[in-house]
Amino acid sequence: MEQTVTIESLYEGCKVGNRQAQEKLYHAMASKMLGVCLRYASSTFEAEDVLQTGFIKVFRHIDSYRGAGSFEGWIRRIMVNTAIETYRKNQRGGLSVEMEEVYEDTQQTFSMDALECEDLLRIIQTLPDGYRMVFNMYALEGFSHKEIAEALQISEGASKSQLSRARTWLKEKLKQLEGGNYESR
Amino acid sequence: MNRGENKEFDKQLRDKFEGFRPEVPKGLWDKIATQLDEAEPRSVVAMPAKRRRFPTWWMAAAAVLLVACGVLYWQSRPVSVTYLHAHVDAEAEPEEAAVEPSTPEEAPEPLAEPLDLERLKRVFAKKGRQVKEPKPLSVVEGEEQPEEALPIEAVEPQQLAVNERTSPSPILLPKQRDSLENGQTEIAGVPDIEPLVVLEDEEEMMLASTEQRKQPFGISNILNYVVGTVDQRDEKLVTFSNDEEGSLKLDFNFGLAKNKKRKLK
Repeated sequence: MEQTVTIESLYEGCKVGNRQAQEKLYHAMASKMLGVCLRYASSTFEAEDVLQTGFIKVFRHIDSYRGAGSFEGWIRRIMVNTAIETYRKNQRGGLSVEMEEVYEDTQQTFSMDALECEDLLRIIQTLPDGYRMVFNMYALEGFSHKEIAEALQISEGASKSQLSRARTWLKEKLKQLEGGNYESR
Repeated sequence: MNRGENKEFDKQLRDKFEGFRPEVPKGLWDKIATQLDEAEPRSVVAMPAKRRRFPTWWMAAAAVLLVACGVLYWQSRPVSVTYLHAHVDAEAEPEEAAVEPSTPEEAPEPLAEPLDLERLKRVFAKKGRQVKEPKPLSVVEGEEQPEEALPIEAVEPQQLAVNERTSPSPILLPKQRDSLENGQTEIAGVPDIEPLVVLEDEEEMMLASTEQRKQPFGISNILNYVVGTVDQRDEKLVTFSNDEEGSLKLDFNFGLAKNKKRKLK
């Protein structure tokens, strides 16, 4: 809450182009936003590129923040939108054959406590780009299938299908990573 | 895999990533700051970019002016000074040859417009000379006839005297009656009117030629007014003027253009 108040107070400084305020906002938000960018990007390099572009957009278009939601939420949305733009710009073909071979009837759930975020991230980044985008947007950001379909210019059915397959893929990969460190229901 | 399991799986991932704070590369802020610094000059550079449109305006204005000049020149060309000079030449030469064969020193006088005073003198001189020819018309009545040309003032009293002597009674002479019937009362009464009319025509023509020469001044004034509306500085980049022959002159202020470039830098 304290951090939120600080970020909100930095907004005024950023609005008038105060460089110190901009730097403070960057240092307050960069790490968290890089975490978001890393989930969407296929590599750390791409994630840093998205973060940089995203912050430039934040500072240049700060006037478009109307205070409807939290300032942090607005910044996060800009990062996600930048990641989507980057994906659409670098769209790398369709789905890989590997995804078709995934066995979907996995009846296991995982305890991720023992896993490091970096490990999870590595698995997520191995997802085909389209699947990763849909999974991030739906499972981690809370977008609807309709919104995802519009943003990625795919059908809602494709969005649902890709989400399902992405989950199956991730679970399979997590199972392989954890070995016996999962519990069966 | 049911919906509840999926939701649980998503929530676990969300919670896991909620506290995820990867290390940010140290140089990233400098890159962002540099890019923001570049963005600010860009907005400053946008001003010269706007100014750069000014020459485009100038080019458009200059193009319009050139077209206007061309059209105006083309329209004014048939009525130009050249035509009038030619017209005056054609008439002046035979007239002078006919009128003053006895004075060869005045014959080679140029056609170029003399001073007004000189022109008036010439007009009056011609008037005096031409009085000679109408004289015989008034002398039809057989009175004494002076051979040399007389000035108008000298002739009129004489004519009045003749009239007094020849027509003391209201009865007109037969010849005089004929001339009145033909509507030539002026010839009978004032012998030098006919040559005067001829000379006035010539004078009007000459005055007309000077009036028409003033026309290009109006064009340059209009063009200068147009330039003035576009360029509101004290010194104009382009100024128009007319020379004595009526040609349109375009003066370009290079110094002003150079100063402008320096300001942009």
